[in-house]
Amino acid sequence: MSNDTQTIHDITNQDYKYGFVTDVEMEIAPKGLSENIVRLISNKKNEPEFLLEFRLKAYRHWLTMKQPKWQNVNFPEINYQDIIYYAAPKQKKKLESLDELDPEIRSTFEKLGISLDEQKKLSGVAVDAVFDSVSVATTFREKLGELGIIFCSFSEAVKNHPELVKKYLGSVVPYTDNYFAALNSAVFSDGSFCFIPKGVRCPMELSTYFRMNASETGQFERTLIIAEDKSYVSYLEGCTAPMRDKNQLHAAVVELVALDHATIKYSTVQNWYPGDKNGKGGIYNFVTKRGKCAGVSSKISWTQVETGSAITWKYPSCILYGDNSIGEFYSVAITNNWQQADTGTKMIHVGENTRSTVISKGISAGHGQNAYRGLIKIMKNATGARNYTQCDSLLLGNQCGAHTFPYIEVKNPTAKIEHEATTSKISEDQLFYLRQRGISSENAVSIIVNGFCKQVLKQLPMEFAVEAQKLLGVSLEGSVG
Amino acid sequence: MGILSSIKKREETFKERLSLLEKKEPSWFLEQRRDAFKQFSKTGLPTRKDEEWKYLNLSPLSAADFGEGKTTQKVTLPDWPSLADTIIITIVNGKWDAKLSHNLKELPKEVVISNLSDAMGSRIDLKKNINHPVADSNSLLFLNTAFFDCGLFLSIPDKTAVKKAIVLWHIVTHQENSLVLPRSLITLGKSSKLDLVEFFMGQTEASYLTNNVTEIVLGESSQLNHLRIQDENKNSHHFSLTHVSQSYQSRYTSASFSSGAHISRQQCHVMMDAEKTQCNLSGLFIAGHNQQMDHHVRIDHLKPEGTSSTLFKGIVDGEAKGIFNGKVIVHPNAWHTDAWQKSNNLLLSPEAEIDPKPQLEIFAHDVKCSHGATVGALDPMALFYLNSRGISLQKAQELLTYGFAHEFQVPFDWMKNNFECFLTQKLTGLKFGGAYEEV
Repeated sequence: MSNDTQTIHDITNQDYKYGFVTDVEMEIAPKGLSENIVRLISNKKNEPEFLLEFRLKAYRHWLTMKQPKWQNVNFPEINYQDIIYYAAPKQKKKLESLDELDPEIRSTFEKLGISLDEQKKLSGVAVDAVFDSVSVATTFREKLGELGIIFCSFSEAVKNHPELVKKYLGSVVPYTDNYFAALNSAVFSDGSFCFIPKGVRCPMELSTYFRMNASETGQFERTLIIAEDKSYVSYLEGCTAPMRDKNQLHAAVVELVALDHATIKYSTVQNWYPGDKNGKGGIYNFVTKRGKCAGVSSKISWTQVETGSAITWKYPSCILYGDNSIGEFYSVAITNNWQQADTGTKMIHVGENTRSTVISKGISAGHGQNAYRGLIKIMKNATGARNYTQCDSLLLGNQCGAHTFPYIEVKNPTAKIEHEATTSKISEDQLFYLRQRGISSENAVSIIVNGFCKQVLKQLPMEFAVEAQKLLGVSLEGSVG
Repeated sequence: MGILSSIKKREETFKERLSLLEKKEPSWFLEQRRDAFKQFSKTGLPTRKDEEWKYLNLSPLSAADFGEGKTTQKVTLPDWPSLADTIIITIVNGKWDAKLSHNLKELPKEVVISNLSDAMGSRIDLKKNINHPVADSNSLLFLNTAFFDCGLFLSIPDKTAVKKAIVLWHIVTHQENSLVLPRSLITLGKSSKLDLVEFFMGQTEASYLTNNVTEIVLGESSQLNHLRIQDENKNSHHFSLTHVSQSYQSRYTSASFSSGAHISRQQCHVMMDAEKTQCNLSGLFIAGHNQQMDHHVRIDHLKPEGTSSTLFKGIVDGEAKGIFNGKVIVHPNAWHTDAWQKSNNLLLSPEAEIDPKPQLEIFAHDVKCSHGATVGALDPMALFYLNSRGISLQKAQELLTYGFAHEFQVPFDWMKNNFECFLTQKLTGLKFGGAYEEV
């Protein structure tokens, strides 16, 4: 075995660091899905009537739907009656301060490197921590409250700001949208809610950290972010899960609404448990993410680094309604071992002079299958619309695959669309060049991969960029054969 | 009633056809015809629910009554001066007409031209060459296989270079609502070489439906230069499938030009099923009025060291719709594949639509693949420049569009001038939808 191959071997065989299980007392609903379960979830959370209505409508619609089959990933049929739809850490009473948080949970987040401790103000990131399906802690809430920013768990938002929830819930991703969105709308348990009022620039990064802990549960959270006129927010999302032999389903919905001149930046570092080396276990990550640039000159930017999950199947999208609005999508997706990814974006240009940029980098190693699937749609009235798409793939093994399915639909002649894609492997020449200069083959691969992803990584906020770069290293270094 | 709309009529026609063919064709092929008939009856015409047909609406076709046609008109031969020195095989309404063909005597003796049904009866080796494209499971192919009449078989033996180009001159003289089903099988032996032109033209203004299947089998180190020109009348519909299978070191070069037909779809599927094969595809389409033009290209790299390139240019005017789908599949073990694909599209009117979709599916490592697609309009600055120098807006737009189209070249020098004239004539017909104003 050559030195390079050895390194690749080592790197691709690195263990998943976040695979531990936390032992907390849990409140768990019985397995299976029925109208009663939907009512139970709603009841547990003391939800207002309109939300229960919404859930039931979604559930009834879900029953009429079939799981889609068009995607380029394979997995055994999911038995939806074999999943626990509600699991929450038991809490006797309402928390007055973070000090009262279950120490087990606190130490879990501590282990994951997420500081829930408000003393650690230096980190400067407000965190909403979601443990299994329930938000357990939100930091910096008061400081944000002074500016009129609402940042809390979804359930609290339902309680305290029902009018906002009612107005925007399902306005971007209606429950009829797709199979998993319908399922989520019926059984979502918690998630994050964020509202930035007019003219406010959010002073710190907002962040949600998702942790799946209980076994045989599905995680169904819902995120709703509303940015009013001339506001700005940068939002981060991170996720991990313990190692389990059974596949777990994660079907979240994220809705973003940007009004006039508002900007939302949404970054994800997804590191769910990807399954073991033989493809056993791992998370099915079937997420619907969509943003609506409702106002003029609004902007939504998605950045994602997808390193985990057995299957990733998601398309963060932008609907560019407002004139001069901008949509962006930056993505790095890595598939190693038996991971599969079918990801990309949809940019729907409706308003005049709308612009979108899509940069997608796919890296496949081992038996990984990586697909980019995108849609650029220019509607009739989108005069002067502009799109640039670039999707590159890097192959790091001889059994992996990289695929591109770009759909382009143009109904306006003034639109300018460019699409380009390349696929290649790390060449022997490149490696030789670096090694010849005294760089170990491991570092050489790492340099090349990092260079390949740089365009996307530089979009991430600093803290995340560092984490993402490390993750890349863990997932891939030395994967050249 | 026609074959497409009436099940009863379809069954009757099929029985009749079979009883006539039973004496001519071998049983293995009759079996294939029966299977194809069953398949077509089961699926009918493709609908937009089928991912491969997402953008093309065929419902007007099933509503119209296409069936067997009757001829009333006389056949006239091409008025392309450059074709005088070629070998012309005239195919009238899907059937080869030896009397109307030209210069057949100039072919090398070993070259075989015959009726496909007869050829199959006498040559068992054709069994492995025909009906390759079944893998595409396209119901229009089934329709053709079930019903085609006679067909054409052209075979170039080993080590033969045919000096003069062979032209398959497809014309339709049938009246309204006829279904025309040409079928050809072309095989090239080892180290042979051929220049082939396929012309599709209607000589009536009637609305008919052409559903053509051309199968090409390339032997080791053979070389085929292939030009297709589709210029059917604007009331008709045109469907065609070109299926190419390549052997070791063979080279396939194809250029496809289309500007005719109301609803059309042209598919080209190349199976690079041997090492070191080469395939270069190019295409240009001009769609205006309410035309719907669909081009599907699929290249399968099955073995190592294949090289392929695809260049398609689309010009869409009026209320027309253009569709391009290019798929490159690199199978496991097809190492050192070099695949390149480009689709450029020009939208000339606010009502026009274009849906390009370049697609890459790669299952092998150590490959070099890239694709690109662009959509845009004419550059207003360039138009202004020309316009302000006294060139009329119409002329300026024609000039720029000509410049865009010029990247597409016919693969034969002897035809270049003739084709240029033809192209210019087609561009003059464009309306340019009034997106720009005269200075």
